[in-house]
Amino acid sequence: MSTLLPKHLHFQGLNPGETVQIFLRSHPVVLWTKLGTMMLLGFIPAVIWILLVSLTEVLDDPQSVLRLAVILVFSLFYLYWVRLLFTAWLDYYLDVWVVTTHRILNVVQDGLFNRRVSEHLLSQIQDVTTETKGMWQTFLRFGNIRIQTAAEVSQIIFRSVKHPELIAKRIGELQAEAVAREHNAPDDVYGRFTAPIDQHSQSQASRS
Amino acid sequence: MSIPLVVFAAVYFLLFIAWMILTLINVYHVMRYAYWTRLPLLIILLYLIFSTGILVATGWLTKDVDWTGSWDVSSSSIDLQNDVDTIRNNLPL
Repeated sequence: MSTLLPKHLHFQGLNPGETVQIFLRSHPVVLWTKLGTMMLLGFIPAVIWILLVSLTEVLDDPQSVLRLAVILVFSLFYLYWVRLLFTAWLDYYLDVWVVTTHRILNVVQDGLFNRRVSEHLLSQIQDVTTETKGMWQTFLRFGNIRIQTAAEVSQIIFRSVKHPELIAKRIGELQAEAVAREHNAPDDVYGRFTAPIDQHSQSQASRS
Repeated sequence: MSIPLVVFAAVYFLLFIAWMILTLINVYHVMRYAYWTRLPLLIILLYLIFSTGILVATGWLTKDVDWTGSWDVSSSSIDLQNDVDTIRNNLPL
């Protein structure tokens, strides 16, 4: 289970003292299922072409306008199809969930230009539920994790991630640590104010 | 009325190139989120290779076309009903 941030990726926006604990994408089988379906779609023009050539004579004449139109339309179809494959990969690659020591980031890429990034504090988590549905998820050990929070967007779903139970357990541990940290230092939401506040309070104490 | 076949080629080529450029611009903007690591660059390269391959294959399939010819729309050189009947009669249904 690779949950740490891969070395070649740079996660910008980490606060001081914050480290990435879990970095997740969907199980690759989700991508392969999509790509497989699209590969089948890609065979349709080829099958139509073979049927037309083998069963009729409409495409035999190289000067036929119908033949030319069919070739050009199929060619454009394949150009669009390649883009569909690319978008499927992109949806997979850019949908990520990051759990740091302080928060959860939910990044959802939908198509080329729709992107949603939501951020939730670990201390606001109320409930973590895992779901493993069906034969494939059971055999390949992946599933959904539903995280209920007290924030405005009350639910985060990690879709089709590997080893959901292990990840849910780890999130529970991180949440407990975050709550404990918040109780110890109520202003320390992101861990960035601890040092200045301490220095400030020390200087105030020394003056008094 | 007759339409020169070269119009087909021009429309096709414009659509193809416009779509390819549009995709690459879109991809360029989206790839910022992937931090330009090696894998996205490889995928973009594959996209370019596939697209060029499709263009080359189309050129090869249409190499025998006489582009100076034209399609006579009024006399309808395409007998669609006849073609459909031919296909229907030959399909092993």
